[in-house]
Amino acid sequence: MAERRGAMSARLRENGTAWLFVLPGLIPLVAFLYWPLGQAFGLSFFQWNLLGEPRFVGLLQYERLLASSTFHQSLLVTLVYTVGVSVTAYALSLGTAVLLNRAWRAVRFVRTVSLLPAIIPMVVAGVVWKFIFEPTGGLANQTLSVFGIDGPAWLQHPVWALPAVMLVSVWKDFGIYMLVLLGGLQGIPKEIDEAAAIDGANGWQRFWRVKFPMLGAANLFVLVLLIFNAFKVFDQVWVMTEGGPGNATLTIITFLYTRLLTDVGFAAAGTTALFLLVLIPLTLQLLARRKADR
Amino acid sequence: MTAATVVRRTLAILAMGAIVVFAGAPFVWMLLASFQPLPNLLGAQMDVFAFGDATLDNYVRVVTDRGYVQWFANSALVCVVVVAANLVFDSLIAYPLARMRFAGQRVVLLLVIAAIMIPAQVILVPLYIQMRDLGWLDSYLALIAPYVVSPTGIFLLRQTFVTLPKELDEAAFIDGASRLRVLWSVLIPNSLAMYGTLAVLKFMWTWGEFAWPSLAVNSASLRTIPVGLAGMRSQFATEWDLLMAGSVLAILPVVILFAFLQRYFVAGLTSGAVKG
Repeated sequence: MAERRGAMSARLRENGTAWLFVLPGLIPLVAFLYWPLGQAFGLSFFQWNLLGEPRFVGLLQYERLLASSTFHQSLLVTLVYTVGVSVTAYALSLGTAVLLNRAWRAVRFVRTVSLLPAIIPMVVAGVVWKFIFEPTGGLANQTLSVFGIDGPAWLQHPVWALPAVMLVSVWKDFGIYMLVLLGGLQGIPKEIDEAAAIDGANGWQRFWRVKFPMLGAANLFVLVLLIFNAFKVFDQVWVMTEGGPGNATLTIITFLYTRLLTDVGFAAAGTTALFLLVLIPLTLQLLARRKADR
Repeated sequence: MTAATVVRRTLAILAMGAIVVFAGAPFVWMLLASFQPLPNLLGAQMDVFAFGDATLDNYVRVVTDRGYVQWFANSALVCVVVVAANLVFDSLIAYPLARMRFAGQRVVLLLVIAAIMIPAQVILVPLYIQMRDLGWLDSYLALIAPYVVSPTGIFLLRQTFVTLPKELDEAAFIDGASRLRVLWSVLIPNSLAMYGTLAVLKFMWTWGEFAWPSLAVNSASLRTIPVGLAGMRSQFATEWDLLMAGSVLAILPVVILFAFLQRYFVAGLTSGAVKG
């Protein structure tokens, strides 16, 4: 009996110690992340401009959101942006990873330079690329003029502004995805590649039939990340175009950002919708992983 | 060497060159422009290669006229405090998650992992309201508090601790060490690579943070570098001379760190690819 009580109190003490370790960090995590997350959901049922009392309006904000043609526009822009950036960045990072998966001395240098864009603040990337996209004299149009092409006023052009912003996102992060895919490629045992070569497969076949399928986990991780990051894009858009010209680059967060502090309930409904959108790629990954485990 | 191999090698070299140009050219362009007087950066007269006109004037002016020193100091202060707080808080949570069994453990671990997936943009509004109610808006507290603990950091440290042999802890316990002592003198010294990764990652993220700091502070004296730079852009739309000099200064700390600690950046960028 006494022994059991001793074990009990040891367990209690262990619990107490563990929570003493956990609490200093858990409190800010809950206070500054989970509590606001719950609030964001709750506020979406209210009408409020930060002054006075919030007024309960039921689902009105979601109805406004669904009826707002500007929100529809922002969904469309975000979708085009997501597909465009994901496809381009994925192709570029996979290509670079394959290119760098060899024992050349230059590889380290190329890898370092590819990672430089990833480490700098997004605001700086936006500012610098805005300068590069200057209609006359900017690096982009000077380069194009070498090939005899008369480039547009990128960021002021209703059609070209979005691709221009997308290019910046690809430039900024392709190095990270390349790194993940390169890690995947380097994890494939050499013997498998050699065996396929002995069986007479050429380089192209060896890549697509043998190595590419073995990249499964890395591929999935990169695609989920690409979509996840694309849905919530904001900094570069805000710095380069503020959503313009004429809403051509108005992504979801760019749209909501101007209303955050004036139309709180509406913005909260919008961010809740975004949160649900973000859950899609994450759920896909979970499902895929479960399938792989089985 | 067969002709096919030569062709293939040449193509690979060309492709590598193209990637280096794509990734690196904007940096070179920015650096060259930062030394040019404004007239050389406008429209048809744009000439970043006019080395004869090169001057340090842009740097002098952005530092003296635009409050850049203050922004830089703010960013540095916020980053140092945030990184230090993270190393402490993240370690403290990671330890029992990796090494102890306690009531609520699964819930805590779930909260940590799920938090990695919450986009910061979703909580901007309620965070603003919360900081307003606390009276922390427009202060260093608002810039620091939301970042003092990182779910990614906790998760990475927990994964690292789990891989260390338990015998290390037990040997220390036999010598009469407390749990805090074990964390401090056994687990941490054996996880230094991960701590380096974490510090670098958190520094990089905090240094670049924009959406929240631009909401959280109003006073010019509390701006961080990204907030200050973005403000310059909208106030003086064509001051490319100052913007380029300001951009070079803004990336200097991360680029210098990157030059010396590339190993940690590489580890951090892959393992912390989801910002959180």
